[in-house]
This record gives sequence, structure tokens and C-alpha cells, in this order.
Amino acid sequence: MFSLQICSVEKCNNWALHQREVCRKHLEDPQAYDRQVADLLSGSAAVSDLNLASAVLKDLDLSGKSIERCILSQADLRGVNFADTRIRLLYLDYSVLENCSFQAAKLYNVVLAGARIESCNFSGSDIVRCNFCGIQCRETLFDESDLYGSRFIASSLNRVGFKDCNLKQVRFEHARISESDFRYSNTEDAFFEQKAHKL
Amino acid sequence: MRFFNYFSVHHFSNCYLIGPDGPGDAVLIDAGVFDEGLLKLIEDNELYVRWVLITHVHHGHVQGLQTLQKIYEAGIYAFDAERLEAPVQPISEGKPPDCGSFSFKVLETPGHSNDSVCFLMDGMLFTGDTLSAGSIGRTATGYERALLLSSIRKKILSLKEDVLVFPGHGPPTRLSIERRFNPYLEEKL
Repeated sequence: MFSLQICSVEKCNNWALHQREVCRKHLEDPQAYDRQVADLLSGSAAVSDLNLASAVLKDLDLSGKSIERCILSQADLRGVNFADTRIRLLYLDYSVLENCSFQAAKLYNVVLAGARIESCNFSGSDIVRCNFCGIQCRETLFDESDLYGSRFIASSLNRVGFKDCNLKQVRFEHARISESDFRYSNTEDAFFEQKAHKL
Repeated sequence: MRFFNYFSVHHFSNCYLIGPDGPGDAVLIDAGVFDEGLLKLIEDNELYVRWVLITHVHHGHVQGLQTLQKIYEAGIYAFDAERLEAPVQPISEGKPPDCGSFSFKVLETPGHSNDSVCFLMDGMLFTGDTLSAGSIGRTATGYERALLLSSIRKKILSLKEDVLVFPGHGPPTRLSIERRFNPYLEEKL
């Protein structure tokens, strides 16, 4: 399970990072920690149960890997390749994702809420029951993906491709959507209006 | 501790299985369904469901109880014990469930139903139908909606920001996300 130990610094309520007794804010050398995280992720076929919050990762190839029950909240990910990955229960909330590829990935219960997502590619993926609430997303593709049960509530979507997607049970209430492409997708099975939701 | 989420398309509801690092007794939060998939998850991980915590007595969260009880001798805990046919031990904020080494705090959150509760354990909050990602539970009347919003504000939004939220329906979320983006929480009472 997640490493949910409190940071050992007095009066700090943040969670301690994987293999550290302190949170990101109290790391002596955050850059060295980022290099360790990059080595850990790229050197293992499967990782699980890690708190790697606020990691800064650039141009990293994680394609084909398995990531399960991890926290990467407030991470800064640029040019990271998640193609063909299998990701289950990963917190990437409030992260920055630029030029990242999730092509043909299998995402389940991934939390990207509040993230800024730019020029990323989620095409041809299974993105099942993922949380995109409040994301600021532009120039990004979800084409030909299965988005079953995912939520984009209160998100901002500009020039986002949802072409030929499965939108069954997908929720877009309160989203600001502009110049986005929903062609060939089953928009009738998605919820765009506030009153349409039902538990 | 090990943690698993099981989703059933039968009621589109989640249940959560929490067990020790190795084989042993586990806690199941809600039992909307008890099917082969859930049984396999439990057995493959060498767990035994010793305790079941119910967030509220609606079909989508309790319908699997009957089957579960044929397989496991589990103590069942719910706020309104009388609404279930099975022997159930009542819980409340002052009377939390006894789940061995797993310690849960009960938060009474009426609104979606009169018996709704949430369970808090180690920075993880199990909200049933009270709160979900970007949404809140369905209510039938304005009074219930006001009660639900009041419950969420008093009992849930007062918790630590980085609490991880695992709802009865939909994907997981985090308390700070709901504070910031959940449009339904902006409603005036």
C-alpha cells in the first residue's frame, strides 16, 4: 500500500517519500532524489506501493512497464513515455504533463485531477474509471480510446481529440470545452449536463 | 497492509479489500456484489474476510452480503443494523468497528441516506455514496440535499487536505481535489 508515513520534520504534516523519512519539501538534495526515482522507475519492469510525490522526470522511457498503487502527485513530467504501460491506482493529481505519451496504455483508477496536460498523446488506450476532474488540458489526443467511467468534471479542454472514443458513463459536467473533436464517439452515452448525473 | 479495489458492473459500485502484508484476516468495505472475481481476488491473496463495513444499506452496497456469509464468518458492521436481515453490529462515531489491527474512525454523514457513514483509516477515506470524484450522492428532496452538503462540509471537508478518497462509485480522488473542483460543493445551503 502507499507509504503514508508522516514527514519526520517537526510540525510538517506532509507524507514522507519512498525510502526517505521526510517529504519533498524537506529533502536535502531533491535533484539527487529525482535521479534515484528515474533509475528506480526505468530499472524495474513493475513498481508498486511507492510515494514519489513531486518527482521531476524528463525524457524518460517507461514504456511497457507496470505501475500500481503509487503516488506521483504534483510531479513534473516532460517527454516521459508511458506507451504500452499498465497503470492501476496511480495518483498524478496536480502534476504537469507535457509531451508525454500514453499510447496503447492501460490505465485504471488513475487520478490526474487538477493536472496541467499539454501536447500529450493518450490515443488507442484503455482509460477506464480515471479521474480527470479540473484538468487544464490542451493540444492533447484521446482518439480511439476507451474512456469508460472516467470523469472530466469541471475541466478545461482546449483542442482535445476525443475522436472515435467509447464515452460510456464518461462525465463532462461543468467542463469548458473548446475546439475539441468528438466525431464518431458515442457522446449520447456521456453526461454533459449537470442534471443528467445519477449515482 | 495491502489494498485492493474491486468494481462490479452489476451496480457500477466499488468495494475495497484491506488486508495484512501476508495471508490473514481482511476487511471488506461494502459488498454490493459477491461474485467469482471478488472471491478470486480474496483467495489468490490468501485473505479471509473477517470484517465487513457497510457505508449505507442500499442494494448496490449490500447485495453481496448473503453470498459472502456462506463463505466467510465475518462480523458485519453498519450504522443502521436493523435494516439488514443478517446479524449486524451497529456502529456510530462513538462506537467504531472492532477490526483487529485495522483501526477505522466512523464519520456519520446522513443525506444520501439516513444511515450513511464514511470510514477513515490512515489517510484513506471511504465515502460510500456521500462524496465521489466531482460529485455528491443523489438525494430525493431539498432537505436531504441540504443535509448531505452539511454533512460533507462538517465531517469531511474539515479533514486533512491530502486524504485519499475512495468512493462507492467512480474513480478515486483526493480531498483537496474535491474542495477545489467539485461543483456540487459550491451550492449554497
